[in-house]
Formats: sequence, structure tokens, C-alpha cells
Amino acid sequence: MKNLVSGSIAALMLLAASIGLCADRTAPLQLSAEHAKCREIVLPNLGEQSYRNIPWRASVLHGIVDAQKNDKPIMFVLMNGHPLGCT
Amino acid sequence: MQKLSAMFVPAADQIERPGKSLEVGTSFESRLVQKIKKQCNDLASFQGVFVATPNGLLLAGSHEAVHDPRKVEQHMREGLEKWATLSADERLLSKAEFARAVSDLEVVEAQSQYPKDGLVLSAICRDLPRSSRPDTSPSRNAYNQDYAWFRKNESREFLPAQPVKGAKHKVPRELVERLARFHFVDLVRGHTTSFPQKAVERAELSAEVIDVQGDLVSLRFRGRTRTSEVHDGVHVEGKWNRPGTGIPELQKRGVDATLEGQAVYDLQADRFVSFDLVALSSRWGGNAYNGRLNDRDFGPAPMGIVLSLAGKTAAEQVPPLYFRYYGWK
Repeated sequence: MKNLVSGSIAALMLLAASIGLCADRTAPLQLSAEHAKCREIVLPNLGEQSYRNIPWRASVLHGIVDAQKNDKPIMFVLMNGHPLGCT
Repeated sequence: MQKLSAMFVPAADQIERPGKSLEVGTSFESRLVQKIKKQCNDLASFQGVFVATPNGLLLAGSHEAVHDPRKVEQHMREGLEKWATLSADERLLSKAEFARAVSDLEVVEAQSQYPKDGLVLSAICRDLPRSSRPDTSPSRNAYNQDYAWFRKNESREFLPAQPVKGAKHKVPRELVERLARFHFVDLVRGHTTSFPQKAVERAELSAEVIDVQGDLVSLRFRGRTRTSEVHDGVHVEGKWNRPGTGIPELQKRGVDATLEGQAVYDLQADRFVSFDLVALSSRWGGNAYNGRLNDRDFGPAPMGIVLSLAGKTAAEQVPPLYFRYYGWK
């Protein structure tokens, strides 16, 4: 679901760099082969995660306040579930 | 495109959430959204992408843009052109209105239950490959994102009180049930309901200290959860399907997951510095809202869920989908 909504918007707005999931782990993960494979399949790739690089405000209200402060228009996405969470 | 996106303040929001309704609410924020939506001559749905001035003048926007990136770009460019023609009075809130908005935002932030000193996990779910029936659906690569919250005192309960190498610990059932009921749910292609407590058949997670280096305690997790519900087929919107071809009369759903993971807890900082938990599961059941009805994809089918430490950005502080059922006061 996520890649049908936020991902397509992000593809337009964004920026390539990734975010480092678990970047501060101190030891390599030791999982069974099937759980390791599962993890590899489930975690989003860089393209799918690119929308995370947008400096989103997580509410319209926060966006309105910052838009006024910065004298910029607001571009907002509304969904039944939170577009930055579970849509 | 980067230049274009920098010309806006980007925001994302949920139309309905506990204590807030952008569609029918009467708060400053809700009324502003309703004002913007009224200017948009399209479907009744509030779902969409909109470009507007801070004082609520719609510059561009539509429902369809949610699924069409080219439409989003078109709205952004159109919005900027209109923005350039407006005076400050035409585009900005009055001083009094802005003060109200700032005040409302302060209240919202003060009421947030985000556990900033606790454990916040990103929870991502996705279908896993099936050998028996290759998935050819357009949404076969879909995944969904949620967050799982634990307060500071709860996060400490993921490790033994005396965290010495070799120590073993049963994570309290209440915390594992939270995962089973609210986070090991089939949300891959859309929403469904969480599991009631009575649907939890197993909720076990054990932690073993595998290493201690100074203040850093390394843990290994192993566990199993199982939720299962059986319904008589009575339709309840969003939960069970109306009887029809290919839809089982006795409707069932559940998730059976084996858990493996690893984490590091910093005793000095009193927080996790890494956390990975992988739920390899079989899920069954489905409804129209979580996308399983159209393909009669009621399983059992493999689904993976990965929990990992979330960051601190505003986007990563969005409450869990089923937060209202956490029971936090």
C-alpha cells in the first residue's frame, strides 16, 4: 500500500539519499537463514524509502504554522490512514 | 525537481484520528482544511494532494493526485504560479489567526503521548514469496509502515533485571500481546482491524543476554505469537466480507509468527541503541479494506514483519495505527 501512495509522491519530490535503518547496531545480526531472508525481503529498498527524505510535517496544523513562518505555500497529502504511518 | 519541492512546506495528515476529524471537526485546523477542500471541485473524498496558502486559499489539488505523481507535479507548478500573483494579505493568516494556530499546535504537542525516552519501533510488513501460487497482483510489491510504542519502563522489561551474560528472561506477556494484537496484523495492502485480546493464543518472547561490553548489553530474542479469530460471516464493515463466490462462509483470520531478533541496550543511557525483531508468519483471512477480497487471497500465505529502531523525525513520531487500543492514560 505504502509504495502506491507516498512512494509515488516522493518520486516526484525527492532526493536520493537513504536512511540507515539500525545504523548503530554494534554486532552483526545473527538470524536463522529464513528469518534473515524474510528481513531482506521486507525492508524497503532505497527507492521505496526516498519519501522519508522529505522534511514532512506530520499534521496540517504544523504545516500551516511553518508555511506562514516561511511565507511559502503548503503542499499537503491527506489519507484515511496517516500517509507517513499506516495508510 | 528538488528546487520545486523546496518552494513548499510539505505536510501529511490522517483525515480521522482519535480526538481529531479534519472532515467534520470544528478546530482551527479542521475548519481550514474544510475551507480548502470546499474549493476543490472533485470527489467528496478528503483524500488527496492539495497546494494551498497558509490562510486556506486552494491553489491546486485533487483526489486523483494521490495515485498520480505527474498530477502532483502539475498541482505544484500551478500552485506556485498562483502563489506568485498574491499579496501578503491574500496568502497569509492574520496575526490573530496565526497566534491561534500556534497556540493550537502547542496544545497538540503537549498532549502527544510519543514515548520520547522509551522504545519506538518501525514496523514494516510485506508479503513473502509463495511457491505454490505466484502473486501476479499489481500490488504484489506493496508494503506498509507502522510504529510500535513502548514507554521507558516497558522498554527495560525486554531484558533481564540483572543483565549478565547467559541470563535469560521472559518478556512480559502484556508487551508481547501488544505486538501480536496491534502489529502482527495483515496491513500489507490496506487496513483491517486489530485483534481482540481473546484472539491471542500465544504471545511468547524470550530474551537472552549474549554479550556484555561495558554498558552495552547484547540480547537475542526468540518467540512465537499466534492470533486466531473465527466469525460466522456476519458482515461488519471493514472486518468481514459479505457472503459471495469464493468467500468462505465461516470467516477466519489469524497470524502465526515465529520471532527472531537481536538488540543492544545501553545501561548508561537507559535505552536501546539497536533493535531488530523479525516475525516470519503465516496469515489467513482478509477483507475488502485490506485488499484481500478482490483476489480472494485469504491464505494461508506467508507474510513478514520487521521491527527496528525508529528515528526521531516528525514523520517517525506518527502514532501507531491502533494506538487508541493501547490503553495508555
